[in-house]
Amino acid sequence: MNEILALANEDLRTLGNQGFSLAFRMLGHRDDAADAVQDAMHQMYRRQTTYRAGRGSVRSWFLKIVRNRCIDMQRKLRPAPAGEFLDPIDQRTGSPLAVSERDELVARVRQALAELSDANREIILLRDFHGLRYAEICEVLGLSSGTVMSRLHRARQQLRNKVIPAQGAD
Amino acid sequence: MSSCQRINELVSGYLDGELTQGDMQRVDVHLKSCARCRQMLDDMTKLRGAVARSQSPMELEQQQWERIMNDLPARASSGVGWILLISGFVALTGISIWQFAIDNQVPWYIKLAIGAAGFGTLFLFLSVLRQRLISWKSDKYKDVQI
Repeated sequence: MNEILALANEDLRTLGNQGFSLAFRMLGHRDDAADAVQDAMHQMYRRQTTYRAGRGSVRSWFLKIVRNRCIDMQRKLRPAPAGEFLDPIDQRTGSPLAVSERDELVARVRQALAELSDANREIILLRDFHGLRYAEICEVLGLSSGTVMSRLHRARQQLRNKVIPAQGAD
Repeated sequence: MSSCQRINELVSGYLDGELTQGDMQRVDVHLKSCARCRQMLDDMTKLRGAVARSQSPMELEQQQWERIMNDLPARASSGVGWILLISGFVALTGISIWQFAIDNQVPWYIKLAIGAAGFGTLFLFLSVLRQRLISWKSDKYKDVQI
């Protein structure tokens, strides 16, 4: 049995939620994001024989499928609201942002992330929010292994320059 | 400054634990003597934490999740069904053609005529199928629901 068929329901749910977070940040709509995850799940099963464990984790492979599906959907669907990544019905906090709004740095970072280019925001979120290793980011973004660190560093420098202008502006 | 610039590229890798041991040591040595790079590392460490806290992990609603899970076995079994159907059809057709070809009771000119009609139909079907596939792939409005 291959690794895809061996996934338990809980593993699938974790994958699905990670894909949903990524898709929502790309598409900006819950229903569209859920559709993207559904399509990605189908693709994952349909192409299960093409998965190679040596090239990356199931998570990075699945997130890559979700990302590609979102790019397809972005071409067809309405544009996502610029810079809006907040889940309008985040049920864990009751009031969205209730906790993080109190933290000024977090609020400034959120604003600065919204002002970054899509590519810079994407690589920062894949590393710092989704917690992917560099090798996994390579797989998701289709980059060579040497590129991820320098691109991530440039993106973080831009974020630093926006959030902490005095020290960040080198 | 050139030393700072070389280390600069490695700071993110250092922060994320993605450097080789040699590069880690180079960055360690440099940081001990460079307040500017220490400040950058400190800022980036704070920013990394703030980025993680700035986003809420999202979860599919139960209804959306059930829709996905219920659809997966249906799609998988439909795929298996099509594979079995097509395999069976191809096998039956192959056996029939072979039986017909080796049947000595049918004259050769009858075999030739039936073979020509059969293959002609097959080629016509494939050519129509190909045209349909090409036009379906290039149809910009295929997802429009009326």
